[in-house]
Amino acid sequence: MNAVVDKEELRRTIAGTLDVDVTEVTDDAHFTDELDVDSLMALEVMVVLERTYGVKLDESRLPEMTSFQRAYDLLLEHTGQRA
Amino acid sequence: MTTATSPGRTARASRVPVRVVDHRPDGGLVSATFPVDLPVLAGHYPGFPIVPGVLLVEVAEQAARALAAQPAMRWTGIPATRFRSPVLPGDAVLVDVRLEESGVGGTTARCVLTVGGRPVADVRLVFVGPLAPDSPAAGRPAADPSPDPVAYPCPHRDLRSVLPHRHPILLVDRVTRVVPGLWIETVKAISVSEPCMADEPTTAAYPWPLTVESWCQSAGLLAAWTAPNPDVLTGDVMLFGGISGIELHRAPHPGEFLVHQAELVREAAGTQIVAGTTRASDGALVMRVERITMVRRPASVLTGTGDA
Repeated sequence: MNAVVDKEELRRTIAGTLDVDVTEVTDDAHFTDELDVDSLMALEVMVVLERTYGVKLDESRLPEMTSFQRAYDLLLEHTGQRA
Repeated sequence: MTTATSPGRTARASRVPVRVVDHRPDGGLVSATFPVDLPVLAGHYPGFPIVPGVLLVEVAEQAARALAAQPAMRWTGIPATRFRSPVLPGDAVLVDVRLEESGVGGTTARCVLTVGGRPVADVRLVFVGPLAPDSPAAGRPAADPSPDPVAYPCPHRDLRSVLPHRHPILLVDRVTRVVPGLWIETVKAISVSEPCMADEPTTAAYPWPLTVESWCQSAGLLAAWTAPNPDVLTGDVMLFGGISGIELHRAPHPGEFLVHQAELVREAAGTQIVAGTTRASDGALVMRVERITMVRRPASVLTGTGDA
């Protein structure tokens, strides 16, 4: 049973993983360009999402995870909560 | 602009001296230079000296203590650290420290380390002052990240054939159990004859950065068990990418064994994410590691030339 994805909870989780203020993680802030996320941190974010929400994400989807909104969409897809 | 030296409470021969160059109400600036003849560099790595990431953490710790109202405050954790760029022998590191109160009697130190304006690491540390009863983490149950798996019989293997680290910074003595690609258990004996303990009372605690390094080398052994990397000149340099959520519990001392357990959480494109614990010989929890990111990179990528 997957956890329900609360968007603001997810925002706090990602902000905590990136060690930035939650207000910096806007929907469209680009992880690499605006939040200084490198490939190692992107993998960390993926691992944290997997552990928090009990899903298995494929590394091949990593390049798609470019912003908070994209990460949220990816997670909804994997937890079967996409409308 | 003021000039002062660090409190020197635990002046250790292997420790890099730090110097306060600016004091602000919320912190300040501290400088430290890693000398080219720093003993640890001979083993990290032979033919390709590079400053171990844990020494950057140690310099940040010293910088925080040098600026704090209570220099003897107890170090209780490393919530987050990012290693951005390698530090080489001779590099002068400038540490910008911001101290904040956290919890009852606690202090958080946010440290930004640069070399000539180039960011090399962001280090966040937490301390609890000497009056605080215990670390906020101490009351939590000390569960290991996973139950012991059924481990394969472990051949007594020369660890120098697996890892590139050498004396005095090879900090694992033996692998006791391993499930290649998944999990490892290692042992390190702490002795007063180690270089870092040379100028310390024999009752002194083993330095936390070296306990972290020893755990990370265990993680490195897990990662390299089936793909040995004994020589960085023909293989890869092993580097930290980041540290998240290290809790420091009971400090280990000479005469004790560290028993490290590390579990591979994820591996992708030469990057490994590893979690685990360290316990002392009596079973007491020494350290918990939520997550460490490790990478293997060819030496040529780091220098841009292929030689050191």
